[in-house]
Amino acid sequence: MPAIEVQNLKKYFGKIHALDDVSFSVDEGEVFGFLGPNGAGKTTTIRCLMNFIKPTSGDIKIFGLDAQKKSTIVKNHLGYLSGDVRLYDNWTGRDHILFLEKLRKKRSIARDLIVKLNFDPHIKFKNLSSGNKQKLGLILALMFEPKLMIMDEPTLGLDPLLQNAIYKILDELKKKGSTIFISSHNLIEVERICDRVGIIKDGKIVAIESIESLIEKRIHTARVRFNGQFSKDAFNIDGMEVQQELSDGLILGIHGNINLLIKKLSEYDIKELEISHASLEEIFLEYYGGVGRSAQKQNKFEEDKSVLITQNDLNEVPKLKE
Amino acid sequence: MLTIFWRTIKDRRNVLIIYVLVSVGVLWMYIGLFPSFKEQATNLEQLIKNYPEGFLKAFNFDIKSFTTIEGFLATEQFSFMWPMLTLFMLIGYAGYALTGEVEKGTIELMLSQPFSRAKLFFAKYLAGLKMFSIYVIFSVLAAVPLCLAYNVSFHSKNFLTMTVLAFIFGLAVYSIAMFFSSIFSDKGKVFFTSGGILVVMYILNILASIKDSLSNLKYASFFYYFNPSKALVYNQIDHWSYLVFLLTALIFTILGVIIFSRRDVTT
Repeated sequence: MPAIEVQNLKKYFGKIHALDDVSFSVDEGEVFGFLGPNGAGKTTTIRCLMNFIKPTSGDIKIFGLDAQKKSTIVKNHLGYLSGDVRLYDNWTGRDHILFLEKLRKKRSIARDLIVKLNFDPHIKFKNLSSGNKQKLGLILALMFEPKLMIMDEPTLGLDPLLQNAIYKILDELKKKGSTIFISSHNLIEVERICDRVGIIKDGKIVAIESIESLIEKRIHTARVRFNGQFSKDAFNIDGMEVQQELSDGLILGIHGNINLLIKKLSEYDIKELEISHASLEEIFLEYYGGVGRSAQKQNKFEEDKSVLITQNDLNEVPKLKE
Repeated sequence: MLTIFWRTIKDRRNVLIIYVLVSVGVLWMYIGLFPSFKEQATNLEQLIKNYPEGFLKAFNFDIKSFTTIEGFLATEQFSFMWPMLTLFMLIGYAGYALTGEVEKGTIELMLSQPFSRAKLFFAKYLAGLKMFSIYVIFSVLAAVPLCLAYNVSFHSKNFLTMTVLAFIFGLAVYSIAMFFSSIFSDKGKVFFTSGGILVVMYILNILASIKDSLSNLKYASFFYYFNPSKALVYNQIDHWSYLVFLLTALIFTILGVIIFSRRDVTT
């Protein structure tokens, strides 16, 4: 029995088709990433799963139960965390934890989570930093050891240390056999924790793939500046394309493994090399027949996922796996 | 459900205390002033007789307005000051109870827990009702010890009747406000709509009192059925008052819970 089964889900807000015939299923024990740019329909799907909003049509089953009609029973097994945790300003973390324990009339593992996340439960929510607010949200979502964890961009705006702490906890949750449904537009995050991904765009599912398959489809863009002469044609080879020629370098698009580029570059004297992951939007455009790819790629270096490699790093190139 | 009920009361305790203190404070002031007014009763009654009948009806002036404490409080406290404070309190709470949770996003924590929206609605509804009951008891029955303290003679039964009228009036207002709280996601809309309806009702009642051709408008106003003079001075509540207030409360509560259970909640 799948943990989540969504069939022909539609959600219209007037003339806006937020979700249009979305279908997917998530197996028990699986970590399923739900990918898409802002406004694609990730949060709307999650809100339908959580029964915060009612679908226009379609079926949602969680552990075989109708997520709308049997919502109360289903929620006994659910943990929910949004990327923007909003709780009661004047309650402390402890107040929130005790409130939920009384509400559900059962003990929780909140104390263990407090220790693991190094969280101070005696501070009022309004006085917590955004990272600590997210920690509290995570504690509240996990404290009853849910069989299914639904997370809507849980690491949005968090520092890498806290992101890693969250990934570690999710790893532990997965080992215990829980199912995790996580929406994100962070490709690296999805690669790090997910088994399988569903990609949504404009309210439609455009692909459901294993993470390996997504990695194969990964696209990088490299901006290379050379110290000496270089040949543009040398880079127009299989798996690589020259997107733009600069006065002292090139902007290259690489499909799949970047070792091909590194090997090729080792033949030249490099002044500067900057490699960035393609955005999800670019992957959509690349693989699902969109337009305007070049314009997207021009803006790529503005993104925070880029990696700057210096001459010293390039000296290590022979050691890289081919 | 009880957890939400008690937690809500705990969170709103200070607001309740403020409303009770203000209401009892104003009541105290009027009871303290009453002996001075009573001394001037003959002159004031003469003055009242010169006012148009419609004006006296509209603002609940009675021939006993300055000769008995019941008449005095019905005119001075319970015809304007008390309803105004009560409306602020009830509409303010209703806005906070459901719409406030949606507006702040805290509703997501509630809705992700294993209980129905109907239970959440009733936990919030009953918490508000309990706080309103406390407010009514203090804001009306505090008159009894205050009258004793100032050596003012009074009819305790009449104050009990006033308590009942105050409660059913508040219940109807509260149910309307909770209905709007269950459908809106913006507190301002709850305040504006609920408050607006009551202001319109107040104006309709005044218009109906001062112009004969508009007299039927009074039936559309809660302030026609909420008659503190009748309750306090004559110890009576009209049957229509029970019917209108209780029926309004029932209809709006049922509609509120149905809509809240079915609506989309987006924060």
